[in-house]
Amino acid sequence: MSDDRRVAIVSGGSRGLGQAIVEDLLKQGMTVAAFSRSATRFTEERQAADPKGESFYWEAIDGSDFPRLGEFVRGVLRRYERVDALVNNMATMSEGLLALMRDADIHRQVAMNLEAAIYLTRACLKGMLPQAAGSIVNIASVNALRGHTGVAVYSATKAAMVGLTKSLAVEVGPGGIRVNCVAPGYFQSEMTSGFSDEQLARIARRTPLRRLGTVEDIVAAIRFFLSPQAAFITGQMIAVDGGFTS
Amino acid sequence: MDNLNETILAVVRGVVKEKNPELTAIRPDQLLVEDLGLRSLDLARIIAKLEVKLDVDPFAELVSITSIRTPGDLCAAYAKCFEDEEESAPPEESEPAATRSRPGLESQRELRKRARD
Repeated sequence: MSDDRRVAIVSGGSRGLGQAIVEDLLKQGMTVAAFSRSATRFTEERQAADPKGESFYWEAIDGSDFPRLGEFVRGVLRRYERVDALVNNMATMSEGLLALMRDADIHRQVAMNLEAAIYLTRACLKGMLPQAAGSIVNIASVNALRGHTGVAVYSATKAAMVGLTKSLAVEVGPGGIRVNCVAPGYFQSEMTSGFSDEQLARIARRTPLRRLGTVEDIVAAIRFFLSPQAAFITGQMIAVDGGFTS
Repeated sequence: MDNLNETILAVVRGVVKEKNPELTAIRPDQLLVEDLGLRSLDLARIIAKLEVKLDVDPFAELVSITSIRTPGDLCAAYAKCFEDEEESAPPEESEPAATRSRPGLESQRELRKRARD
């Protein structure tokens, strides 16, 4: 199944931002391999439209099952014979005061948001290093840059993604691989769907550009980092937050 | 085993050649860093290429990466993977390692399990 199409792996690519990333990469003519814990209407429709998995491949994987992540990437390499891009998008958030948080909720956030990204990245490097080319985009959060009550563990994992980005960029840059990071601010998504109108209005008031972000705002930054226009950019983070953290 | 060694040395030679086109011949006893001018990322590239070709990674658990100083050390590390596998494989499957179909994830998982046990 090898051809000239570039191949991207997207973690958590079945709904919300992940779905939008997958759709955008497909629109750009890339082949996309994605996984998430469970199928969605989006993945089912995509698979039905492409039963041989020529441009879209999806598997059900729990991100905390680390050996499965390596197997997924090896499967992608066998199927498409290349991996050109990785978007570490998958994340989970359990809100609550750290003093009251259950062990399981701490563990799951660290496993899904950070450890899984590290294992997945390592597996993808096995495909990128032989090609001496590749681009990795890690999804962080404005919570990595500014403190908020109730998200200490989530913030810690997202700040770690920034550290991972910077050190790995230095490490694999000589191998032709770029590593960058996008830190979304509050944007209209499942994550903010539970916010009251008053909360949303307050966020917009505190944002210099006076609105919440959109999924397209975030996807545009990811598209840029993966594009040839960013060929000389690595180890960098763009906060897509309307100036919220300025 | 000769095929396996040839595969490994060809990959090392390819990476060395990219860095230093004048160095076309390599010996198993040459030092990867001092003699062949490779850096740790080059070694990572070699191992990544070999994992794609052979579908095994002896450094995941069986062998310490810090023990690798020469191409010969690399050959010994990969031979360890395939020796263990050949011991347990049925006779009809014991063709040369580099030419047979990839041992696959199940067998690597089994290797790792045995290494832990």
